[in-house]
Amino acid sequence: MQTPFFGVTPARTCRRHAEFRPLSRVLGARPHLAAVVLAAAAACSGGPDTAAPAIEIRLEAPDDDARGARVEVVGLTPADLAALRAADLTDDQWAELFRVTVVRGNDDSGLELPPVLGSYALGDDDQLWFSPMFPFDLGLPYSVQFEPTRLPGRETAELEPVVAVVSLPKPYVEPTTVVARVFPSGDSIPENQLKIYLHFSAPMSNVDGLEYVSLRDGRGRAVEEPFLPLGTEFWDPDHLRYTVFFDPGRVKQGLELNERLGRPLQEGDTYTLVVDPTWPDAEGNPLQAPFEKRFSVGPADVTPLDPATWRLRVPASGSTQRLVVSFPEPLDHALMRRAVGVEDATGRSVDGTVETSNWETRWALTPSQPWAPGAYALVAAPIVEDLAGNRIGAAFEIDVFERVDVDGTTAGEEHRIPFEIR
Amino acid sequence: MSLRTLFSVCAIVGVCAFVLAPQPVVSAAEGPTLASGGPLTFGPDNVLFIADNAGAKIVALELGDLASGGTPGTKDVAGIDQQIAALLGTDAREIQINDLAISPTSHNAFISVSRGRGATATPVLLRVDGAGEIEVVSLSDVTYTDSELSNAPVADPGSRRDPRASSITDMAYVDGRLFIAGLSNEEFSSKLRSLDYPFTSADEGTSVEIWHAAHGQFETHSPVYTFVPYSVGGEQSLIAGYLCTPLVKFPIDQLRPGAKVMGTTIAELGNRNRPLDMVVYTKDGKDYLLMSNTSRGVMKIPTEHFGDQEGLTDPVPDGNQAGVGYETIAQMTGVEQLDLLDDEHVMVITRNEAGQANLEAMALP
Repeated sequence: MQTPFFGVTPARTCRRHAEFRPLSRVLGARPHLAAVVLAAAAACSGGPDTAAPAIEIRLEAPDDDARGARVEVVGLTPADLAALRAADLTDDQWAELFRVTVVRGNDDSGLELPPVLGSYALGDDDQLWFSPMFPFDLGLPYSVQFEPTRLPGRETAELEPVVAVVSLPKPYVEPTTVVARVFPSGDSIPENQLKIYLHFSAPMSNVDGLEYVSLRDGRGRAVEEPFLPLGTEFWDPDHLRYTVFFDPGRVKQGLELNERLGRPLQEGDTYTLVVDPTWPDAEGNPLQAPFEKRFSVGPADVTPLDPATWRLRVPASGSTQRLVVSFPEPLDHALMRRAVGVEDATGRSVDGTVETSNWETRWALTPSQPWAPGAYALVAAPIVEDLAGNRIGAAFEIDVFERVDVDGTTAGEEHRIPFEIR
Repeated sequence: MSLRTLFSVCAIVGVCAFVLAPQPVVSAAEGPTLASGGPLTFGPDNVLFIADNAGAKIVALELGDLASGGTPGTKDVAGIDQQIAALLGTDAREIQINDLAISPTSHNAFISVSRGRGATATPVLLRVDGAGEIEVVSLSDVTYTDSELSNAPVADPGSRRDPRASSITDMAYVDGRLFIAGLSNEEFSSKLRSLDYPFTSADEGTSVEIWHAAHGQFETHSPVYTFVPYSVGGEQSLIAGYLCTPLVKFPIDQLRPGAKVMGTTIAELGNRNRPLDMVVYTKDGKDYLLMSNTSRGVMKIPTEHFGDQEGLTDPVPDGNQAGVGYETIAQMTGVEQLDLLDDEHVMVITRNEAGQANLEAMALP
């Protein structure tokens, strides 16, 4: 493993042939891959008996792929290359000869940092290259230092180090990512609303979203600590959807935070959910625009879901018309998408396209094949919830003593509503 | 004790094995592929469990000789985030430290990080030894087994992709079973799962949904965030730190499918707070729980009354604690990660006011 080998010593640096050079030639014509290199060439005085190498450092991206970019040292003499091939250097020796380090920005910590991990290889021509273990970051400068006196056989030569700063340019991209949708999509929510889903038009970065989401009351004042502080865990796998939970300590009755601060939402007031446009997307760009959504708040909902109140509009056989299910109140968008479906008489799921509408009070399935006549069932998994987390037969807040009477079982099993296609 | 009192002091653990039942897939191959690297915990024989939240699986890495670097122990490393970032060729802001675990054999530190915060974020496992040498642990030659954690059922066959994400927040290995606490981005309820280890294809795992009744007559529905195995009065138990900071104990052997488990809320540790990590240690013949928190520092909690503490029943009136007492360790500030280094020290990753993360050993208080 590499022994940390720290820092550049400018006093020993031979810079007289250094030049800025766009590497579009090396990297191809695609301008976004045009690396900029402070290329340094050295023809400093060599040893008395040996020709001094004319060394040049450059950044190359084979096949125009920035992720495969590597740092090359060219200009080594055939004797140097032969000596390197024969030497079988250790990792530490390689790092002392040819070191790539991250250029630090404003940093007064005084820490000495190790070189970038990677591998070294000798090319067929006169080049030696370093491939980082992880692709170089776009826009991040890297310092490269080549120490000729670490070449086998040149330990006593009067050669000065060659240094360069290389970077892959980070192209400017116009911000395009926006908050595409918010669920609940309606503008009225209960006082004990449990969560909000923010859908983005493009993948977002893995940062704590709560730094960018806030809530203002009707008078424009920031609501104090309304959301559950859980770090970065509440993204979907594609980083397109962020879940914001209201702090359950403020939603649930009896908890101290609720007793002291009250619920974050108060019946009768209006609130504005505000998304800060500096929230970086996966490319590191800010959002295209700020986002706000206004809600009015109604009374707390502590009533369990009752499937007996769900209404089905059943299509005719032979058609591909939608099966429509209407609910008396909005359901949680994510859970109704995932946990409601239709099965035929054999228990097979009916394939098709699901849509939700009318502020999540309506669920519809358009089958991919025409409906065959027969018996079907609308199937709702027990995880289906309304906006306040109430499930089928079980409110979010449950009196445990009533639960004891029903033997303490956890809420609900799969609920089925049979229907017939004729 | 009346029924009412009984259920006021207890947490009810109901079993719902149909949700989040792990679907083990045994691999005896070499070189796992991780989509992400989250919580870590050591098992027997230099096995390191790593939770891959993005990949929805637990991977058991058979580290063998990789469990040890050149020097036993773990040396303090100032600016561990910057050191790791430099090695990985990126800026410290692009490094997210996800967990710290100390090898029980080499006492080297293992750190799981994410390199990058965007679409190309890459999981990396690193080892820090007693000389302060930081090395990337290459998984390409590591023998492993894994167990996939299936998502909840998808009733909608047309959904493009299941957007549900399960985030494992803590794991612990006890006597052949791996316990896993996790959260979901859709369902706000507590999940505690266990898997037999070695993983077997026949093991469907246990999935329990935890309810506790610490606040008057209402269940809190609050998830377990971190937990630690501990024997209370000879009964192997889990001590669980809930999201809203009650501390709850429940016996391990009752965590079986079909069982109904009573847990006891033994402490209320204050609001506006989330537990982060906890370990148990012994000092001067007494056991203590050391627990780091987001906003209430590191708590030292004597365990001597864990067995006889009467379960809490009522909301804590405007106070910050109730039940078993604790002491806040003033010199341990900014602790983000924590694991036992040896009998006398705890290894922590702290973050100072300048935002720099430091890996350092501290004497057990």
